[in-house]
Amino acid sequence: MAVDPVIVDEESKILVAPLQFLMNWARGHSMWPLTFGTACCAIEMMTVGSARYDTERYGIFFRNSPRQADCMIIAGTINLKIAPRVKLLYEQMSLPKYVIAMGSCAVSGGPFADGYNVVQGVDQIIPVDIYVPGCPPRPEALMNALLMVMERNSAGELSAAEVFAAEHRALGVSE
Amino acid sequence: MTAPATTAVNVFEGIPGVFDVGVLGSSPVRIASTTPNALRGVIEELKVGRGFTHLSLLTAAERPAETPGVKMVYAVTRRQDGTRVMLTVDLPEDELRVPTICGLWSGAAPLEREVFDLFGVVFLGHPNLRPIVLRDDFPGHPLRKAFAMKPTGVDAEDLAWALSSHGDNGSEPTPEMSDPSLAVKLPYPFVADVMLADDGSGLHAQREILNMGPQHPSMHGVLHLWLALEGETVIAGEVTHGYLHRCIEKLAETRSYRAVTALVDRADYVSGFFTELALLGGVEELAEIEVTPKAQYLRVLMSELCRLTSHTTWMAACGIDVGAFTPMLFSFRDREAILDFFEEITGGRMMFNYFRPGGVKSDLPPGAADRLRTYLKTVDASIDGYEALLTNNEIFRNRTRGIGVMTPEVILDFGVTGPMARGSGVNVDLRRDEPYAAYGDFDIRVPLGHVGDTYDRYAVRIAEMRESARLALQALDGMPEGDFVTPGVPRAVKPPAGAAYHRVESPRGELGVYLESDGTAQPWRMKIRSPAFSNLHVAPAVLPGGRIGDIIAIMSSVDVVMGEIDR
Amino acid sequence: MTTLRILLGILVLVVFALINTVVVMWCERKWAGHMQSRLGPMRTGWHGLMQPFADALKMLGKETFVPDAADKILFAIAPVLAYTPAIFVYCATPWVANFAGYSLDVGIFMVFAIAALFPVSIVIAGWSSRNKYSLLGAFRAVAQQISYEVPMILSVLGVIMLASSMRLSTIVESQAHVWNLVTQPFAFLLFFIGMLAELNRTPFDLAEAESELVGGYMTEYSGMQFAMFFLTEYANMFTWSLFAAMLFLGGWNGPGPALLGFVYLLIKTYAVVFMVIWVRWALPRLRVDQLMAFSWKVLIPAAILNAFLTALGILANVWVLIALQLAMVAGFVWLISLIGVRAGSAVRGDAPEVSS
Repeated sequence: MAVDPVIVDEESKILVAPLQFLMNWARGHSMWPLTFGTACCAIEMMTVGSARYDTERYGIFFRNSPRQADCMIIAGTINLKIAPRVKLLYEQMSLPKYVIAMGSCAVSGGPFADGYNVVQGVDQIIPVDIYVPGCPPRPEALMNALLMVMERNSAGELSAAEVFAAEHRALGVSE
Repeated sequence: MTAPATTAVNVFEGIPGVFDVGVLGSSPVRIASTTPNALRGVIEELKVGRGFTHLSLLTAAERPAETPGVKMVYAVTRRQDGTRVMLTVDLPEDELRVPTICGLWSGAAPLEREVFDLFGVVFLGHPNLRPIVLRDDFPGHPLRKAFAMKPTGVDAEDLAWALSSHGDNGSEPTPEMSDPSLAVKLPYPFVADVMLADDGSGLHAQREILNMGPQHPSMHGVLHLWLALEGETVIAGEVTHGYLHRCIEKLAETRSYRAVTALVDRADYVSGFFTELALLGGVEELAEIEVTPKAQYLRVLMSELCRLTSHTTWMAACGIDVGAFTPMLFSFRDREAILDFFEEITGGRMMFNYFRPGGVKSDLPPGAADRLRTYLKTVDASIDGYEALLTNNEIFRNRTRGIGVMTPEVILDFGVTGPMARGSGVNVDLRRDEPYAAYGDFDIRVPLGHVGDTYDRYAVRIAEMRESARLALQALDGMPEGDFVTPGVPRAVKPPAGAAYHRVESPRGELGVYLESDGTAQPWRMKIRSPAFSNLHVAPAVLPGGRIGDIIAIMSSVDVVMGEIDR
Repeated sequence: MTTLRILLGILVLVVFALINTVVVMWCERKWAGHMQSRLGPMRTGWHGLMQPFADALKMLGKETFVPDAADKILFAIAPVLAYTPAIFVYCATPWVANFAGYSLDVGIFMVFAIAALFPVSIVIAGWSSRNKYSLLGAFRAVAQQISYEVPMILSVLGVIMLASSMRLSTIVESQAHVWNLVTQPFAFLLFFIGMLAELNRTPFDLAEAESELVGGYMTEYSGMQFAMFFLTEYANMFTWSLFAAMLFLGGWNGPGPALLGFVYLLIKTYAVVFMVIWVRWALPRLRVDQLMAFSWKVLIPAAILNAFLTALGILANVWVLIALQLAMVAGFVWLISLIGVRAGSAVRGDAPEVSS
């Protein structure tokens, strides 16, 4: 399901500029992650939304439906059985979408990397924007990652999803 | 209620087909061997004739290289006097077939599926012999020694193949087992059968299949329920998991015991201490390492604190499942205080790697005991706060009272342990019945439910939280002086060849680690007896007859942690 | 001139409705946060005041999916049809004395009639999504809303009888000395419970909750269309709280100049909004059959009883009326506790017995 990334050409920049400023501001202050917690990191992800760390202060509001989410936090190990679901969920998200690989397992397979059933990092399946190392990462680390995503979104940088889609089109490969 | 050694010696007397009777290492477990043909008779006699009603372990291990094949291991317990018995069946490489025992215990069915999946042993008469933790199309049986893991793990080809299909669309049961005349009849219907039986006659709603999971908002991790519904009512349900199978048991065979201790924290990730304790209990038994008294008390203290964190996490999920969002925030706020203590004492919030063979990694930091004492005295008031939101709330009562009733017969049939069993009135708690660590010195009070519905399981866990705080205070007050670890224990422990099965009472129930050592620094076989695995598989028997809303309430009372179910 | 005035009025009303929707969104997030011992949005504007704007703008910029098999026209209409009734009712709402867009004789009736359009939009959304689970979730939500409209309307009968009119401004004026909360507390209770169900709020939010597993009516929506559904929930919250304030809490009545009445009305409205938010975060949710049973077997007979006894009380005197109302409240509360706690206990009591 290939979608064109948002490409603003020179002429329309003049008209879009003030709206773009508003949009960037909005995107930098409102981020709705999709929870995809498989394993231990999911507990720390729940913790980051709880009272002590409170991601809602930054406008981060966890959603359960992929269509309404901006960012997918892969928290936990991905194995061969769940890999197709990860891909399906990712494809159901609407642009602009970001992916945070939380924890060593999502980054590279973690302590289970040499297992016969463990995918070595979720970036083997979907494009990842931010990698958060740790086993599990502290809630502050995940919060930092979410804030980095918001900064990227508000700076108008292309997300990994858009870069990937553009590269695929350049190669002439259909998804 | 410890096993009196004298009576246990005669436990196999008079049963034909039993040989090599002995004792498992230095533990009170009686062990014997039998043949595949005699297995059914022996186990039936043990269960029905001699009162061994609880199936504790059903697993397999690779036999030594000289005698290729697979060894089946069964462990049963007689709860009246605590006698524990282990049976082994040696299967030669060319005849990996053994009769199923799921006619005696319905809880044996998923355990046998797991052995089939990981070892390739075929269970004659099993009605549903399909893979359970791996994909349906996974090539090979990974826990066999002949299945060598690639040093680089899963490569791009495997991944491409995995992504091309879903791999859990339900394979057909192994053809030999589909012979209806041989198959054991389990006490619950299968979804496929129920859908086939819907011939459209009669005045009832059309039957539909509903998939819940593996990604869903209730915090049960990656669990997949496959349900046959008639309107709102569940007619049949099946549990599919394996979405978090991380090869822990195979990886343990390639790591030293120290590394395995760090690894098994991640199995039951909500309460890592218990798996560490069960593992090290086995190591210490095999290598005959003494644990210092102070370390025993520290182990009790950390276990009880961990039980508190686990139950608060459960309570958060339980509240959200019935729609009460606020208890989660309160319980996580209070849980953070305990996590701060964990971080101070062990260095980690969730993954501790704190227990060592012979003791623990380090002593309590100065001042921690007093601060912990102050904190523990506030736990009762916090729990009162959670109860104010849930226990007497009419809506919560209506959602949980009378829902998902499990009779003691069902509990025994499926091998359910822990708060789920106690919620049905089954009076079993390993801390009191088979004291390990320093639990023998403690006054342990065990809350029991009456009816076995969701509310009772909830109430039992809340009462256990209060008990845990009490026990932790007792541990702090009674902590002896001395070393926190036995000096002289080598860094790379090499237990002599043998087997051990050590079990502890985790927040989910009977957590055991069956350990086989071949004398090297790596385990030959490490099997985690996961309480949540057995607890979860009671779902097909309990869900039918309920409504969709009840499913969620019942599953929340089961308290699943997918990490230990799938390993 | 008149046309201009009408257009200006419409503009003012729409802007006012949108502003209040946004304020209610902010209130929800902040008050929920504070009730859960955390802070809620803090960084977007002063104490998160701009958070709803950020959310709405961000949703504007999201890609819009339209499922291939969906009925395109209906799919596009549903969100608009959902949001429209929330604003539409304002045209007949009196804000202060003698100031209403169009003061109808049958004001209350019209309000309920317009609000009944919302279930229609839910069915359209569920149907046009061409998703079995969306449709089922939509059916459930509609059943819930239709069932709970009945006790709401019946509970307002008492208020209408007291004011002898269905015109909203008359009802508010009749509360100049005594609020209907004093003479109709039971009706307020019923109206409030019905309101929670109309708004799909906990304890009646199964349309949002279980449908997250089964698929709710707005699952296939994304981007601005989803934003409209999202805003509708909060707009409805404001609307119904406004009517609760007008019908039961005395509307714009209060000491001081007439113009201050507008402020009083808003304060009372937000008091009701606070109660709605409070109940959401404190209580668990009902199962669907319990929900339907509660409406048809408990609330509707109670509302009919309320109308009957109110009529008796009006014929007698106001003290009898208040006494009857308080008796009904007490009886209702006792009935609920009976259903909940005592009927649910096991024979030997509730708390687990502790053995050693």
